[in-house]
Amino acid sequence: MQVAQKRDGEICLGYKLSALESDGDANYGVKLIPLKDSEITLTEQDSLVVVAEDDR
Amino acid sequence: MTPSTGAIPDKRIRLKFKRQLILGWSYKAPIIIQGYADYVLDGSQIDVMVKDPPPQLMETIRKLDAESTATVRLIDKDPLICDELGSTSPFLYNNVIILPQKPSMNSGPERIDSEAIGVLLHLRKLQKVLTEAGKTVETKLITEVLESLNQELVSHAGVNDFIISDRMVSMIFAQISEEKDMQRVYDNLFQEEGSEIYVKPAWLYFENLPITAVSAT
Repeated sequence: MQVAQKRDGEICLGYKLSALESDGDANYGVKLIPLKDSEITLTEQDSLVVVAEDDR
Repeated sequence: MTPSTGAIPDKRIRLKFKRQLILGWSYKAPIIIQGYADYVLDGSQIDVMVKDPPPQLMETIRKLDAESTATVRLIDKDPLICDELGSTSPFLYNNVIILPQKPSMNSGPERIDSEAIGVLLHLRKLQKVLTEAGKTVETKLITEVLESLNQELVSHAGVNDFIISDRMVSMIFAQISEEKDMQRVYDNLFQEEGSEIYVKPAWLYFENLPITAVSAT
């Protein structure tokens, strides 16, 4: 179990699970503002939704 | 989510030259092209495919090409004809944006959406040929849905991202009417300076994937 790391000046708003990418009922895999303490499993293909200055 | 144990991987996404294909045209296209050119590396390429472009459109493209740091070119081909679309190898581009096909005809939203779906079906057919030949396709397909009722049809046509413009504008209006300072937040998010919302790969943030993480937002 691990908590998301934070990169400089970035704020994480949620995540996107690639497995649910084409599932309209699951909001295409995007979950914003997840409930505090909710557990998610992220794989190499998944993404975080962040507010950031650039896309690097 | 908050910082905690473990180091952040020291990784960055390497910026590359990007190639973008725009199929069709609308009054929004110059804004899309300028906005996109602001974000990508100088020397990136934007191709616009329009059948029989009117002289005014050719002039607009010439201007955009001269003003922006990206190369903007016009391709005189019809995206509604599968062979013509295929001959430009759309899947060699990073992004393909689908806009209205006959902007001068003032087609209604139903017509524009159905043409977009037609183009998407051509693209899907072309993509299938590539994947069956064992090639990986990473091109993102982006389109605008004018009638929110068509959202499901479009998402089944294999598009990665779609913008439901009427719904998005309505939601922004609703928020700004309740809290006018929200506009400053949106202005900041939608311009190149300052911050934007990105979807970044999880491997930028975690060393050992897959992992089970706990949200601390």
